[in-house]
Amino acid sequence: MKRLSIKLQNLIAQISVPFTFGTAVLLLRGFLGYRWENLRDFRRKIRALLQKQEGPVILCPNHLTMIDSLLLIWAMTPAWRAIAKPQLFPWNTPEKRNFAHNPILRFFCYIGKCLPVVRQGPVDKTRAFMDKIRALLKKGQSLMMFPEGARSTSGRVDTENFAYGVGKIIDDVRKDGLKPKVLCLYLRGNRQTGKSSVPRRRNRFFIDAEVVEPTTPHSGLRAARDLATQIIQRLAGMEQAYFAR
Amino acid sequence: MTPNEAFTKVVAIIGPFAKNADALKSATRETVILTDLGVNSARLVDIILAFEDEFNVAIDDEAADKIRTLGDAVDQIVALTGK
Repeated sequence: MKRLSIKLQNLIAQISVPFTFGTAVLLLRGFLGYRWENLRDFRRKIRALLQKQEGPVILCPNHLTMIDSLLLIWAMTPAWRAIAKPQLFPWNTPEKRNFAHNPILRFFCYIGKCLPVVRQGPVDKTRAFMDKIRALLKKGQSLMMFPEGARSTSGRVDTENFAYGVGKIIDDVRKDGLKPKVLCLYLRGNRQTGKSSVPRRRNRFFIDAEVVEPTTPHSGLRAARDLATQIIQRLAGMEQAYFAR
Repeated sequence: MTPNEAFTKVVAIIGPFAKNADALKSATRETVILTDLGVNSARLVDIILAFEDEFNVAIDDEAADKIRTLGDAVDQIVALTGK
């Protein structure tokens, strides 16, 4: 039943791509005046990185604003390409409390391939959520997950207080025999100084992607920590490179 | 290891992760690690791994999921250390 509901959501989301992407670009570009510093290069890089990838992809961006997912989906690909290659339109895992109260947001989250998560929720719900994620990745879908677990309060990649959820997912799907490709994404607006709900208008965004192949000799929680730490360190390195430009 | 010894060590391990120092001072077996002590949920993994290192035990994911209170942690550790 759950798998059927995910299949249905996937189908509706894919059919809705022109509407979802159109609305997102209209809002972000038209209304908020956002622009990209290096969009063409980034899209070319993403296409090259994902071209030969048949298996699942886990996208791990840094996290500063509430609309990072929207910006990243806009950046990843034009709408027509997302219809042809669903991997370019990743699933997201937003905190349920951030949008469930608003029916319009709920609708957009549904057609935007969101799987709500309740942080610190009951164990059985968390397990069911993780099972859904595993099922999606087994089907070769892509998943966007913020490895920090929350927006960084310092305005920089949080290398101290990050979550290990992404590490657990990678460890779990590797046990299932899958080899997910992990892509770190670094996104930052030129007017972004710290954490915010929505970036200020007329921001000009920089975005970059790097493949990371985290490894660990451990299993279980220790593996989750190891893997998540390597992803966070890569993101921190990308941030250093951004500020050193 | 006795439950009292385990409790003392558990509180000492959680100390650096607890935002609510007052609750830690008056902690009992019923104290909930996340909400009462103000421990960040992501740090619960670090705490469990610190238990494994300190007590030389292996706590599997399922057992780790059941640890909510200090008493739960003590019971797991006492059971795993064999007394």
